[in-house]
Amino acid sequence: MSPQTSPLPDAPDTVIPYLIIKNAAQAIDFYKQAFGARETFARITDSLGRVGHAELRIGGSMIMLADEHPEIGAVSPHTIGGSPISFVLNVPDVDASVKHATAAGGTLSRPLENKFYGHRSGEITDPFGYRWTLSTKVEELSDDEVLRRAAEEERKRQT
Amino acid sequence: MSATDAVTVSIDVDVEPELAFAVFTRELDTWWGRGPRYRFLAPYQGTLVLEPGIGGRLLHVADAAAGRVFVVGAVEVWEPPHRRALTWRLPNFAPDQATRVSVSFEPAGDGTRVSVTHSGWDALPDRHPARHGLTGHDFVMMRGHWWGDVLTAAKRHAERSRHPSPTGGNAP
Repeated sequence: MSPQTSPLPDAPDTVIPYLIIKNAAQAIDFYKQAFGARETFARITDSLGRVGHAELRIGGSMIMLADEHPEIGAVSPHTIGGSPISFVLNVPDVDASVKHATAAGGTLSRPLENKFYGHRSGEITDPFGYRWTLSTKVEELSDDEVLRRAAEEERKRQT
Repeated sequence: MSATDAVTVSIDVDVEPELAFAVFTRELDTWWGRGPRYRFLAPYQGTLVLEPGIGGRLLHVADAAAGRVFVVGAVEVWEPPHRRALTWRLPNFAPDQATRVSVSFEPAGDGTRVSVTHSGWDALPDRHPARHGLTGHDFVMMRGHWWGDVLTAAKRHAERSRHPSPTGGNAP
């Protein structure tokens, strides 16, 4: 490596989720439709038609994805039987975004709800088994108000 | 054919197929990377030339005066602006070893989906120097990323020439 070479790949130095998906090509179409994703690198496919690598941007974030490659231990939520993680998307109008994502084929797995901390959010499970929490800030709250409401929530839970 | 005999790499380019096809012919040398990663003969500069039509050659003219020319391959399919295919050899291939590169240009929305399929890798033994020590999935991904970088350069060039920015800079 020459001294001028950056040790970072040509990608943001942020956490980039790498999603393994059964039918990644369909998932790319879904993420484009549901979340306005843009494909930002060439798509690499093997002789069997399996997507080996693809890159998308959703808002300012990058995600990478590939089809299942069980021979190297890369398996999807459908094979595992669920996803242990949820991606959070902050959007300007969560009701519109949820409507959009469900129209594209997502399932509303947790209903839209105003949260005590001032957000309105709901969870979409996509057709490939990944979960996405969509959220919009609907109230500007002071720290004191959030704490007061949190205590109130806690009291409600205990009674 | 194994899962790892071929790799296909696709990119959507915001220009019509005719221009995309031309970018991969007469404009090849302007955007194709330089240096040892992208050129075939040292000092990895010179000119890359694709002779159009069946039987045309893909040449790396590393030094015309010194006669240093490497023939990458020859065109076997030539159907502008839809597809072309050519044989593809690297300098470290034995005389009887060759792979094949097929490129298609399909309309996609207002632009063109350019797909490169590089096949025939099964014919090269696992210890072939062109594999850089990689086999199977890892090798396919290495080749795939290489073509991904090549296609990204082509896309940037094509879209820049099609949609020049007034300041001469590159639109994001």
